Amino acid sequence: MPVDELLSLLAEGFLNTLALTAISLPPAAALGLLLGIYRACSSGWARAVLDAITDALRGIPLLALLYAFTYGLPELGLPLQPQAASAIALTLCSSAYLSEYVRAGVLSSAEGEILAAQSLGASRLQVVRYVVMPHLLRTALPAIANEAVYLLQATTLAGLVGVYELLSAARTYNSKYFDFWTPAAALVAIYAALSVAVEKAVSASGSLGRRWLKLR
Amino acid sequence: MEVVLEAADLVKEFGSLKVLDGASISLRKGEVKMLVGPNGSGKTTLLKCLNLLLRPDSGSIYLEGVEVTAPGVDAKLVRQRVALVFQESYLFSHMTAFENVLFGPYKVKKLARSEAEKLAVNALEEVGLDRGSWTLYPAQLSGGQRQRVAIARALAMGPSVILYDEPTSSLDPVGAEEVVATIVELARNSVTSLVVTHDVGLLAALDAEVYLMSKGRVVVRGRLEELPALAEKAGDPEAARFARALSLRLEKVRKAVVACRWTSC
Amino acid sequence: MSYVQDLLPYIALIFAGLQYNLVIAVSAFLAGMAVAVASLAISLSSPPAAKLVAAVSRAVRGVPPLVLLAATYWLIFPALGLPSDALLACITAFTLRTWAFQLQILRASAAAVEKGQLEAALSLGLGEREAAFYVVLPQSLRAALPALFNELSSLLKESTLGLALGVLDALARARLVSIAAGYSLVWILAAGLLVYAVSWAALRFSRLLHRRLAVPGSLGAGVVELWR
Repeated sequence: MPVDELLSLLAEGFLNTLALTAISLPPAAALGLLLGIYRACSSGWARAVLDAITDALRGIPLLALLYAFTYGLPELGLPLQPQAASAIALTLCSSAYLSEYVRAGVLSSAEGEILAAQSLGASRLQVVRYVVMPHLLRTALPAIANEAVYLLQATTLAGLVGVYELLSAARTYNSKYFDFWTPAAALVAIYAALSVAVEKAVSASGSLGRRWLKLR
Repeated sequence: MEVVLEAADLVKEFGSLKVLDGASISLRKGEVKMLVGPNGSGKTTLLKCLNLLLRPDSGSIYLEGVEVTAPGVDAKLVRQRVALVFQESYLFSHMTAFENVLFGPYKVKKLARSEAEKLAVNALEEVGLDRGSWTLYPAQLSGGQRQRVAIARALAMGPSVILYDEPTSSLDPVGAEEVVATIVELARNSVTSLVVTHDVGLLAALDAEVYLMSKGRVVVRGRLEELPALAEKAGDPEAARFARALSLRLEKVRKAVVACRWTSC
Repeated sequence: MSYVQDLLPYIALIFAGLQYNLVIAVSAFLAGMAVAVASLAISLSSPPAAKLVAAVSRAVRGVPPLVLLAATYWLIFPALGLPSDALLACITAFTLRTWAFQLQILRASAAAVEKGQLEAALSLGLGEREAAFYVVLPQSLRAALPALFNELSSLLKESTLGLALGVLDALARARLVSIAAGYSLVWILAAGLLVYAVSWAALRFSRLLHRRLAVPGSLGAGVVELWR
């Protein structure tokens, strides 16, 4: 069992997996938060359009989105590297889901307070800044942590459009040595460990953010 | 005395459900009126229309002579002058009692901090909240205290009229007593108020003119004892039944109070 | 006009591929539900079994679906001596995955049933198992309906992963068609929207079901929000 070759293959896959997750998560979080807050606090045609787009991004299979960006865009004259195309598809899909969690979370925890603030005559911006934001840190953080883990698992799909991530590495090893048990076991262990690590990382940055906000 | 708030023929539909069907009320400066009616008669919807949280489908609302249902009117400014106190108080859970009351004058009206603080202090003293509780968070306050902070939050805005939506319904007897006392005191100080309630204690204590609502309209108005007869005459037996039940309970409370005085309980 | 006619066989091909998505999603959903209800029953009667079930389901939830698929096809099937059928492997892998998630959903909705309901049932003299069957189960199944159909939607979307094993579902066929006829973006998004349309139809149906099965008077205005 050529362990060192297995390790080097997995290492390369590991780095790509991590990179893809790290590149997609922050913009997905930012976009998801913005969209979620906007959709929770507004009405009208702009909101309806955003609702439709979000529903579509959540309803279309992620693999279809990945295919669309990897194979569909080059035809329109926008050739993208598989990593870039996958990052965009993952970001868009994740932000759609996140915006939904944030929207529902805000409405469930702060609906009455939003009503009270509006009754005092506060503008939409004031409502968001003084009533929604404090509640957000409570609802958004677990949602982002959850989504981060989901994103990590979704990187395996990127392997189907040309990104050399962990599963691809495992399959390469299998095709060379006809042994899928070893890499599969390694994979399960790595993903389990990574999920825990990603969750901890998100909560840690969340507490840091909360402390920074209290200091202001 | 001039009319402060007037609503004429408000209609509001939610899909196929007509919640308001030509409701009209009017309040003069310094007046306190009560609004009663069976569940689903449209009381809460009417209140929410009066401060433009909901836009009526038709009909008009006049605030101090100005038509606020006209297009182009800034709803935010209307809401600064027409305050609404909710059944659940809806205090901002991440702010202390004092900060909750400070929020309106300081952040919404954008007054100077010292001036805003003065208004907040006055409002909290007016509702009789003890100073020690001013720095507590809503979760640390009792129901009665929370509701009084909600009233103070409304008062600090210096509104022309305060609307109360079942202010004592979610409170235990102690809390309800505190809030009743507060509202009665404010009424005595001529704060123009419209109180939606079925709390018999509050009805007895305020002893003001009552609007009876049924199926989206104000059916009759008058003193609570007159309502059953008026409602029958107006041809709404269901409303009459409601008014009878309410005045019956009011009678019992009044009798109990008198009995209490005799037996000094 | 003839241009559209030329496209018809392609469109029919992609539509036909949809059956694979449906077969995988629906079979896995039903099989997973059966096993989930069974494991819940076992968990209720035996605490050590409950711990094992919880641990296994937690492990399964942590495995990426594609890895589960690959492991089923290249490891588990050969190990069990089963034929290398891509469709069967997909259904098996997804059954395992949805079992783990449905277990979570059912357990959460059972816990969400008001404690007072169980206490009232026990106070009437019902045994624990009877109370669970006659009082808690009907209410928790109703409560779980939105989450369960969400899971079905998820399964429909994940069924597209079958193309990694060679299953020619709607998406795989869309890709093949676009290689032959160009306009990748159109065909791929069309296949994606097709799957979306099926989930959307399932959502409408489930909303109807929820309304039909709901206890009269229990549906307030807030329930609509559950479905987004």
